[in-house]
Amino acid sequence: MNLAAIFLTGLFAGGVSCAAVQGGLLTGLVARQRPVLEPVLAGSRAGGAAGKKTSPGNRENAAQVAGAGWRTSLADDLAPVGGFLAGKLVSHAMLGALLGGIGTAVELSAYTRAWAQLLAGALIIGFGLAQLEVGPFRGFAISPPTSWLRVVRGRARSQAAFAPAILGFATILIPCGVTLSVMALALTSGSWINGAATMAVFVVGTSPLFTLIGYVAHKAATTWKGRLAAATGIVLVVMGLYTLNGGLTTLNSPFAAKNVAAAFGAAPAPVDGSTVDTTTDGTQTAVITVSPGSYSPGNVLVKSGVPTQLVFRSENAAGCERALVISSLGVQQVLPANGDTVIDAGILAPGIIEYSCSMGMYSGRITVQ
Amino acid sequence: MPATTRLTFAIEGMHCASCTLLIDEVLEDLEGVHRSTTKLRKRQTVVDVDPTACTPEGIVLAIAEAGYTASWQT
Repeated sequence: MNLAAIFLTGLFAGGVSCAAVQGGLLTGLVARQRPVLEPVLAGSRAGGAAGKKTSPGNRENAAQVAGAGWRTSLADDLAPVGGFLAGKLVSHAMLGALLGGIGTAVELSAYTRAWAQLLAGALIIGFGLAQLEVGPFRGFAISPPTSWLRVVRGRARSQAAFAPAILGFATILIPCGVTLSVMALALTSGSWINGAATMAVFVVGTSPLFTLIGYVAHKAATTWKGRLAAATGIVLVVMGLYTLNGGLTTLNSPFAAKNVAAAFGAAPAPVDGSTVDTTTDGTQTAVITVSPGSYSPGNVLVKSGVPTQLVFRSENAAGCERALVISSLGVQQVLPANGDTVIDAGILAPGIIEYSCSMGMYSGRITVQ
Repeated sequence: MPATTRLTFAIEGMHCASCTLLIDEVLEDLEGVHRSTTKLRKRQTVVDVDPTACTPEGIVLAIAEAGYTASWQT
């Protein structure tokens, strides 16, 4: 999945689910810390000091007062939000790097990676259906150990100046379904940098909505929670299907969307031999340009029976398209951002050679005639 | 030492561990609540309260304000 899609996932799915819940934790922390809330809270609770008890309704008052503070001092109110998000960004990027590194270190074959992706896709769909409260999926959830929850609760009640940032950092211990799904993607991302970028971009994507509805207008967030959960569920199911299709594409399954489309009569990209040259010794060289989100030409035409070199020419390649997989030739290689990667394909027999990025999001074809 | 009564509530609308934390945070801020333990899998919150200072209705209201639906299991 490319980073733009991850960002949108964070924006539409992660943002609303994180905002409504973790925003509440942050609001509570700030309310306990902030002296400006004292006069309001003191009126109906057993004491004025931070951390003392209140009665139902006052937590909302706290959020509203925080809103009033926002009007008088924007910086004061955005500081905890910024700290929280910064802490969250750091911990999630670190875990993303670790997951991406593990996925690379164990050197998953293209086949295994594709199956891991199918599993991730199924998991994401499961979380989506749980969010939508569909039948047997209603109870589908992964609950972290109690000790981890205790750690986060301790951070939520801290009086330290950097408490919001530390709370944000600690939220890595309580991932929601959306976050777990993105972690699965980081594991199959192909490198530690991609893993870190995947998680970091996701957190950045969650930031606007978190800031708007999670903290500044927490009351509204709780009111909308049911509808937000449904929206999140729908986005998750779509994201899961997209991920699942990536795995099916890598495996060249007949159930992959492009093969289903072909079965229903959709024509593949027309063959194009314009980037193929033959040298005096009879070797043919096919150049395939790799640019952000595409391989071009999408269906290169080469001759059978002659030695063949495939040149994958990277031009500002930046995303998943760099992780090239040509299963039938046993090729699994990370391409550079710029420059040529030459693959000796040997003498090819007539037929079709499919290839894709490691996550199956972008694909191409070599037609041998 | 104030008397303690254990109350159990069924919760709807939880989707992740953060939800359990939020509910426990909200409840333990309430007057008369000694301890709150919410389980995601059981969809349940168990609250130890001082019955003279806190009512089941107050807890249901506080959970509703946090964005969830609670029903007291007598």
